[in-house]
Amino acid sequence: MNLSNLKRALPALVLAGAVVLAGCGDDDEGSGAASGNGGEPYVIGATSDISGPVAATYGPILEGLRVYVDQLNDDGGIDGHPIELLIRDHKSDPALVASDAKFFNQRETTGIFYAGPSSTLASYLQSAQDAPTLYGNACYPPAPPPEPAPNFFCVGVSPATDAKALVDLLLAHAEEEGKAPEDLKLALVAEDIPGCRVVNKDVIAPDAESRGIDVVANEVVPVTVTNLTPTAEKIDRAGANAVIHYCLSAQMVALGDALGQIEWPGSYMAAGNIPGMIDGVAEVKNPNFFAFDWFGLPSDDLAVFDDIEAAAEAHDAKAPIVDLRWGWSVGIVLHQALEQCGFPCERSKLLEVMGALKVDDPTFLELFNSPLEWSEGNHASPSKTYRLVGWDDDKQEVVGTTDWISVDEVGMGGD
Amino acid sequence: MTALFENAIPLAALYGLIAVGYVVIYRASGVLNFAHGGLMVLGAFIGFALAGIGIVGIVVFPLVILAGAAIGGLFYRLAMRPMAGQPVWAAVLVTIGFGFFVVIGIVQMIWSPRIRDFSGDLGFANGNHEVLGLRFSTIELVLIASFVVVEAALLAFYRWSRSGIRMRAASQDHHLSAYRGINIDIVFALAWGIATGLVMYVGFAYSVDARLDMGAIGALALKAFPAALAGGMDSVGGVVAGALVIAFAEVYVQLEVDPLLAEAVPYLALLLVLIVRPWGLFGTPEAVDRV
Amino acid sequence: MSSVSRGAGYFHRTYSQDLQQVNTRIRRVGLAGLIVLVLLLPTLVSGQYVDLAAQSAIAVVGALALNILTGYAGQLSLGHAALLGVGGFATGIAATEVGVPWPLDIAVAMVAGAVVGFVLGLPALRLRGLYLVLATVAAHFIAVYAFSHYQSSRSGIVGLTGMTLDRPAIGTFEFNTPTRWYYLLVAVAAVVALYNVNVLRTRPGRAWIAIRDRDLVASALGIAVVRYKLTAFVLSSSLAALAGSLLVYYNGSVSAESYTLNLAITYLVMVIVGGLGSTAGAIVGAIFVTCSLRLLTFALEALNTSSQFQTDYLIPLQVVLFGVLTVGFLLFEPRGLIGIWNRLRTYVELWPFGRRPLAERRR
Repeated sequence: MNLSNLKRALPALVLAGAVVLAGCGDDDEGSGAASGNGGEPYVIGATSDISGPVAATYGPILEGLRVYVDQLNDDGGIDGHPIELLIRDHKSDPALVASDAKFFNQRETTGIFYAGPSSTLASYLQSAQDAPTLYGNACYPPAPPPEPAPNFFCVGVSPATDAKALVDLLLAHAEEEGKAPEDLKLALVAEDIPGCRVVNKDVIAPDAESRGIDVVANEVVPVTVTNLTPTAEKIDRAGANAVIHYCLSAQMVALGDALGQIEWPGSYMAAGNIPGMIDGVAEVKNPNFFAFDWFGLPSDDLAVFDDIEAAAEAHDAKAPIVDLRWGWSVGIVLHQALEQCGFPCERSKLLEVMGALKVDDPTFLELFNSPLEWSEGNHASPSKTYRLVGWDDDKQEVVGTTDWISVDEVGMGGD
Repeated sequence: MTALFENAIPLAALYGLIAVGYVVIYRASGVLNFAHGGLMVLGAFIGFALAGIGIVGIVVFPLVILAGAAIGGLFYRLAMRPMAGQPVWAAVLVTIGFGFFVVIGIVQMIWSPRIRDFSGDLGFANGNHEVLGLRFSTIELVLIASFVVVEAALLAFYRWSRSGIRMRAASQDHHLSAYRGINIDIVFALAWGIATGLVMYVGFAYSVDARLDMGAIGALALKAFPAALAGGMDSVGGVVAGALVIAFAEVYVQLEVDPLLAEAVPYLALLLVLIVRPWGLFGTPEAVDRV
Repeated sequence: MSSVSRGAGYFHRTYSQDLQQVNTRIRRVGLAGLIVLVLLLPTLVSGQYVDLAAQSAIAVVGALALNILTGYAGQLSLGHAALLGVGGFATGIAATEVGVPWPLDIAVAMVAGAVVGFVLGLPALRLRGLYLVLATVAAHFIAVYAFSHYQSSRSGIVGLTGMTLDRPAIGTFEFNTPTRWYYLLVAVAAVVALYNVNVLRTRPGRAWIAIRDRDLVASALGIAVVRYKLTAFVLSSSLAALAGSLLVYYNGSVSAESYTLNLAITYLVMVIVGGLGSTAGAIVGAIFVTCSLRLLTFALEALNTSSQFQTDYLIPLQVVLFGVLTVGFLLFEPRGLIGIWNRLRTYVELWPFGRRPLAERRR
């Protein structure tokens, strides 16, 4: 009897059957970390890019939140109720983002934490509908003023505000060096994703020009390139003596490195609140490489970093401590929102709470440096503090190099 | 102008080293090895892991090559040899499945996907040097030198060494070579080992210079296909010409036109070559019709 | 459609009986049962599974499109993501810039796909095998550059968030629940499947099979290889554009970043894991790959491990398992799931014998 046909077919069928059965079984019990604290959990959906192309930026943001939640659950949760995070990996694929959002809506999670590049934003907006959403990203529309959508909230400010702050800091730095705005020849660099390109072209460039700065170059770099020496050469050739680079950490660090390699003498400024940047500044060790930052730094000797370090240690975080800042801040905000909402927390109640939430306790302020205040007309922060950070050779760490400045949220209306 | 040469020459060396791997495997197994991107990433992580446990920088490089050779031989034995009688596209898909998914996934499980810069761990600084009036970093010079050495070594190997001649015979006609007593299995395992060792070394060296970014490395590995093809898919010597042409075209567009278009330039060149002269500059014409 | 003999007892007495696709009682019953199951699915399972089924239906359309090019005509292509993108962007541009209403913009997308397919097919005519694969890879990256360039040329908030599309609607009946999408998509998939099954019986279909097996011989036999290869490209691209169009409507937005090489690879894996060269194979492969990816997520979630373990190990594990699945099928069952099914069928049919008799009248 020839069993070879059957023998070949069976293992595959068994495996397929196992997968199907496992998948169909008890998915209502869900997943994630519910550390058995007795109380019913708050269920929050969390979707981020964990293993996709921009995982280096968005993975640590989720990890910061995850570590905070794990620590919170260990400490007893919110009045005995743990937070259960349903974690999904969207790999920056708009289709997966849509699918995750729909899944969370079907499960009726209390809220959704969404961290991902602007290229997935449209897809998320279409699928999330009216789920309460916390952005783990710069505050893109429709969250910032003038008319924020009722269910989108940011722990941060809109990229337009970032852009204004960047120009402010650039001018402040120039003043320190004895330069007037007219002396500045600015080159702008952005990665090829909409959130960065559009901010450069439509916000920073006009703002800089209106303040007397000469914009001599506006470069766009592909997301898949990490050797930015050609771009550095182009900047040098254009005669720029200042560069603003807004977006993804890999390229921001690479360009800083390249500018150092060609011994360009100007000042290079990039967005420092993004995971990977602070370590990047530390690695490049170039005195002309600055990052503009929202958060406190470990070098400021803040108590909150001890908390973060302890939690990261206890819960096996893989990202560096400094990259967990943003996620941790989100965790604090989420904690307070859910606490005020009580249990059980329906979506409508949560939206009500979030629409009037103010977070300004000392621990949060150590990290975020300015209070968070959501109101009906503003789901970002009414203002944000910024400063420049850079490498200090004597102290061998990244420290603040200017004082904190405060910029009001400028909103992002229409076109 | 100097900027063009300073950027294009190291890039050509990089493409060339990756493309040589493609050519060696294509000559041996007739397969396009799409796994190079994943293997480069693996090589980089292995190199940094070795450096992390304290092995001196200089020693890490050959260790990575050896590790690569072992992995290549093993992959051949486990996955490519069973595909021997199958259509070529199936073998190509095996390399895709292996490189794009298995290797990348395992790397992500062991080390997380964030970008790394380990140059500090290696114990030597990546400083600048002046050669012929052009500025190159240490690693760039290492890559250029490696490419020259590898090309010369492979050409000599194929031409004069017994194993090399056996390999050429095996790739020309498997059956006849087997009848003549050449151990095809060893020959092919050797080819895969050489190619994999080489490509893992390149991945590591590149990451020391330009930080470890999985997406960027994957894109780089794919862009090296045009370099291999332009020179001739079965010509080791042709890789030099192919790599130089592609690299110079790309950097020129990057500097003068648009960095985004520059990413598409290798592929435009690839299409051009395929339309005009599919066997490349130095390849053998009848190689094209193999299905 | 089937190369397995029907065994004793099935006699065809008229031509029309001979031409029937579903020609035995068992097959008819099976098909009827399948149709009933498909129609009743939303009532049997919960919302997220209906959603999954809807996604599978889109994947089925895409896989069937690729099946025409790669399975029937034997032109191996990794450019499928680019073609989906053509459909997506054509739809997006037609809908948002020109104001073409649904479903006309889908038709526009299909025409655009056909044109691109023609342009793609011309240089591909003289390429075979691996060279064709490389050409399609090149086409993919060039297309993605074009999409990004278009997307970046638009400024303001729309440039920021990409093109968004309104929910399609027939009059006041909006497609905004998984169930409604499911029925719409399954209907489209059924039509495309029917087309695929029947195209094999037409002249182009037979020509493709001949070209796939040996195009030089086909040419010697008098088959217009150039014309039929181009036809394959045009038809396949048009259907791929249809799939791309459905996909962007389903997601609600068009974004160049979703068209990755991994997407093209995934579709190729669908067609091969299902069984290259058969309609049933493409359908089964599409459903299997789409579902196993998501079901794997559910299964690993059901393990109820800590979230750290999940993000660090289980999520990348899914990537590894997908690769293992692909390599496994290629190593052990290159004829795919349909191949496995055929083996089982052969085993049952021939039992207790192991092999077919050497001399047998074959249909």
